[in-house]
Amino acid sequence: MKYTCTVCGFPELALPPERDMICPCCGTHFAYHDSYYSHSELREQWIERGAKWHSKRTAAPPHWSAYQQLIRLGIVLTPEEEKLLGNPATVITYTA
Amino acid sequence: MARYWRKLLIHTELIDVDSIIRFNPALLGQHFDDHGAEFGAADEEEYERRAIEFLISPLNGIPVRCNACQNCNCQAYGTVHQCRNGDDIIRFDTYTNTIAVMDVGRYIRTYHRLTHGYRGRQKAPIKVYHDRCEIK
Repeated sequence: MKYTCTVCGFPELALPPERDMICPCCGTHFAYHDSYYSHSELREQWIERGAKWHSKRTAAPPHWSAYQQLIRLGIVLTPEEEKLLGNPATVITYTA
Repeated sequence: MARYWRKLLIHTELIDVDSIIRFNPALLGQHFDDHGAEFGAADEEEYERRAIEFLISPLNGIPVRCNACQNCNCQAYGTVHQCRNGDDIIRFDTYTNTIAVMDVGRYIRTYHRLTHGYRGRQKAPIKVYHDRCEIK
């Protein structure tokens, strides 16, 4: 069974996002970092840092996209955040 | 040949040291990556060994009720405080700000040092520990 990170939406956690699970995606150490900040605050900080993959041990899934992951979590991003994450929908492709 | 079993008293429970006390394998790697340097651990084995030593080390001092907060069930033994919250046994050294958590299955869940803040938000390490000890 896999669990979803309540901070970044990574859906492949081996353990529930609680009690010292560290999300390989956003790096949140549950029951530690969230004793200082709420999950939404941690998410905002992660996005502000560029929403980069945290773990050097666990590789990001192929074609991993922080933007798509957050959208699947139901997070409404601000235009600034979308710009920061490179919203694929804003990329205009010109065809001949 | 008779086997000598060491027993240690950990929070009113007799724990067989020779039984499996080890870091949760699903957590060890990432915890070593994120916290191993705090103890100068060269590899996962050393980090795990230090965590075990911290958790099974004798609780020196006369146990007293910790009165730092009214909501926890913490006991203080000198500088080392210990509590149980649900399935977790939590040990915290106020001198080094080291915290370790072991669950009832004898699997260590974390071993790291608490700081006085995280990303600009201040909180005393003992408060972080007490938050962790809150009775569910």
